[in-house]
Amino acid sequence: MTEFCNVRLTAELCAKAEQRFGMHFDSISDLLTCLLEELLRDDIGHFQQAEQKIVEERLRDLGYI
Amino acid sequence: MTRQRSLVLVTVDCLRADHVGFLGYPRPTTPFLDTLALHSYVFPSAIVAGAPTYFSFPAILASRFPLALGRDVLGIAPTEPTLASALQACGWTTAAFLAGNPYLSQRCGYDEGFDTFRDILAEDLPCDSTSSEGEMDTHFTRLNRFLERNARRNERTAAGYEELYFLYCQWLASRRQETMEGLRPYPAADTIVDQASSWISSQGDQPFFLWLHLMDPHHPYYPPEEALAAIGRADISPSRARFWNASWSRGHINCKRLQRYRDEIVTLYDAGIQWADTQISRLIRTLQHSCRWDDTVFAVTGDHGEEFLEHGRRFHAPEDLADELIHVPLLLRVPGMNGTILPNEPFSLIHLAPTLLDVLDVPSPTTFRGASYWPDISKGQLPKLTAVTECIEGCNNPLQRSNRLGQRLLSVRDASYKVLVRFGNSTDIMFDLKNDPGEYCPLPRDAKPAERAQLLRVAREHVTSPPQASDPEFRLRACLREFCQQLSFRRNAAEPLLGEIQVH
Ligand SMILES: [Zn+2]
Repeated sequence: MTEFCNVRLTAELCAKAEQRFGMHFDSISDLLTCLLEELLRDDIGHFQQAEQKIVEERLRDLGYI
Repeated sequence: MTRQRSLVLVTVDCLRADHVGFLGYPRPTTPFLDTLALHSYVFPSAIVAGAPTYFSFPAILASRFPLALGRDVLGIAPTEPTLASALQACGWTTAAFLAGNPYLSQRCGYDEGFDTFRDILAEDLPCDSTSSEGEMDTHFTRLNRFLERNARRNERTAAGYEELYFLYCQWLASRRQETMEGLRPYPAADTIVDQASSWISSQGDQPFFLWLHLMDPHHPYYPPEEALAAIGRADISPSRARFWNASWSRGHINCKRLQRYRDEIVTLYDAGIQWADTQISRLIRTLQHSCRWDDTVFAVTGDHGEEFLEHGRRFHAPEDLADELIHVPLLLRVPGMNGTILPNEPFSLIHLAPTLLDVLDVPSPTTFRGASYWPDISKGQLPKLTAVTECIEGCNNPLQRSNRLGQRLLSVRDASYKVLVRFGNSTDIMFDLKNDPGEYCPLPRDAKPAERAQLLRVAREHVTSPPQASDPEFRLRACLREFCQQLSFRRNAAEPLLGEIQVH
């Protein structure tokens, strides 16, 4: 089961966010969830490992590692 | 007290190294720059760090490889130090005048560090009201739809229909009174130089950094008539140029057919370079009249090259990193220095910004990946160098985030050899640039193992280089910028955004 945390934001900040982004999100929780998911994507690590493997395999073929 | 030097950087879109006179091109495309080159440092092998524009400019302005912040980051990150911001912080007045390349816009962060940022795209452009689509009357449209539907039933009739429809559109367009100016979708260099010249004239005594980006050699190729006359082709009319451009741009046309138009297309491209050269000379006259030329460091380069079927391709898509695409001219004029032709070592444009700052005695931001080679250059030397160029293979529209998440294409080049690693299919090919400068014959897979391993080690170092301390912050800021842009683009949309930009 998914656990949830409470986050404290000032009412003023929530009201401003509501006003600005309200038409795109049902709630401030949805906005923050979307934003954090966007920021936490890890594309770099995934690509880096695969690319390192390709170059190192080739260097091994050539007898250089 | 001596006045601090100013800096003018001119970048010309699609400028190939082998199409400028000072690097040996026989056609008179760059008479002005050829003369300037006599008193400048000429880099025979300047190599971009990425191609095309959106993969090249992070290195030119921020001395950062295009994929270093993560391949999904487009442009310069908010607050990321750049050549402009480094100079601005030290008291230089900064201005940019750009001829409307959408990837060099404010949206992609290129205004970072500029007091004045004029992007012609963000301003009102005169609108050509004679669009070809608008002219067809409904009778012909209905007939056309009927013919198309029937022709598409088999491959041969579909090809025949396409040919006829193309000729019909060309005939339709030829009935209009056309001018090169009206056909060109971006402003020519004279407009940008006019803007920059009036800005220069309004400046006081303080040092400045001025960046101009010119689009003249970019397709579609519609050079001003004066430029065609200057290279001896005053006979080319706007309607001929339109026909050649339209023919050159057609999809699904084999190379043999395209070859018919190649020479004429190259002529139009060359005339674009000629116009940029003429206007650069005008810019420098303004600097001279304003008594600023004697204390102005001047650099001109390209953001990438252009292909004319050398390897079967047109334009400058990131599908390969052949020298036609990554080798650009670079000329650096420093007042009081005689200049010279530098050794043939591949000088990556990742080093350009730190080198320029060094010439001006301004320290480079610690985020810059490149290094200053000014101590060597000022002695007419360059050490042994290796240049890395990267892009996302096939990423033709980087404004779509998903397109930026493709596979990396990486080229590592020294003065003699080049290795191209295609991560998409885990292959690498190597060229002997001395014996095969056109890169037509890849060496056998096991040839030159020591040289190949040397370049592959550089590739490994490049793909595994750890992020700098500030990278996560820049990445975060760039992601937030895009997030907000997506929201504001959809401000009037009824559907909720949630889910649309979530991870897949
Ligand atoms: Zn470009």
